[in-house]
Amino acid sequence: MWNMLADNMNYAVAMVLFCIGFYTVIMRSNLIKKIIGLMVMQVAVFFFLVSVGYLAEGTAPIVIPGELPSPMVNPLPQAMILTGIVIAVSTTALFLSLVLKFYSHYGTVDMDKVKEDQR
Amino acid sequence: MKKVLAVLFISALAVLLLYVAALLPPMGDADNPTNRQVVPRYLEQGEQEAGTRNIVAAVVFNYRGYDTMGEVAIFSAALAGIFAVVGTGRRRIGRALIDESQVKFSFVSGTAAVLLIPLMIVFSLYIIIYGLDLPGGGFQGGATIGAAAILFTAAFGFPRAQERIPHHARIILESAAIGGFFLVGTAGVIGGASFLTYILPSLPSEVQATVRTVMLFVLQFGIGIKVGVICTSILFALLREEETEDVEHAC
Repeated sequence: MWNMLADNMNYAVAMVLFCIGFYTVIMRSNLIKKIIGLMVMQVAVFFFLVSVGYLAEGTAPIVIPGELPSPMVNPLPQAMILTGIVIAVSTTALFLSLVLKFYSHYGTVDMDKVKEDQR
Repeated sequence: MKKVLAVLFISALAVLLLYVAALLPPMGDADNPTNRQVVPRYLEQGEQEAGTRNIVAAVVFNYRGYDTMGEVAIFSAALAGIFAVVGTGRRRIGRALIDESQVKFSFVSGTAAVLLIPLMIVFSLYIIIYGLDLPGGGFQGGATIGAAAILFTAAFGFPRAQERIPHHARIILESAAIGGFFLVGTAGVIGGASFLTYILPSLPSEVQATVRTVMLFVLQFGIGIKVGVICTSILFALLREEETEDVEHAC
């Protein structure tokens, strides 16, 4: 069990990172910190998927003319993550604009304070 | 109480995820299912089929072209969503709170920005132009352009940035980039082939490769401009919210 986990160290780190991000999202009442937690979760997923495409002793997936074809890493996760990063940026910007609206309405970004005020 | 429950829940989740991670096939093994199905074909025939030596670009612009199209649409939709949330009210040259802060922009940051921004723009053009043959491409180059715009705004303030990168120019660039993408993508459909294949069957075969390279280049450049401009637009939209807030408080 531990041997197998040591082989898949990248996956294990990605899982732990995901849990840290999830903890931040559910425990922090500050909305900006919640968004940071979401971004940590996104990075964990990207890290996991790029690790899936890794090939031991593989080179970058670029064909060089006149050279013997060497084993290349999997280009598919890389291309997917390339689009995924752009999507992550745009969703984060959308979240931030919602937080700006929240702040202009309540005067705070802390959800607990808003709950106390409403009591 | 809530904290204990949360920690217990997250620990259970972590144990479950780590168990799954241990059961996955060992990382980096050439026999993994992820490295077997369709990937060998991409690696072996990508250069002939897609016309790019960078296989990642081949996947983005040819094999998984629909994903890229969806990504273009989502990025524009996110910008539209931000405008819907923060409002598009027609504004004069805005003043953001950052410009009214007591801390003045320092000489050092201004000089550093002046030195860095031309380099960043040249670098982004380089990785966009060589994206088909070397590591790089439209997304990376566009993100670098966006970073240059953000650096300019941070160093010289919002009003000057808005003067230099005016609203109407951004609208034209965004529309041209997205329109160019769809035009190039559907060019093959009009010729009788499938979407994003860049093959026009009516042309003689010796011209095909050149036409395809030109089309891929247009696509790469369009995506680079689009990503850079939309990053800038998002920044300006978020800054403008501060400005309208300011006006409301003053009233």
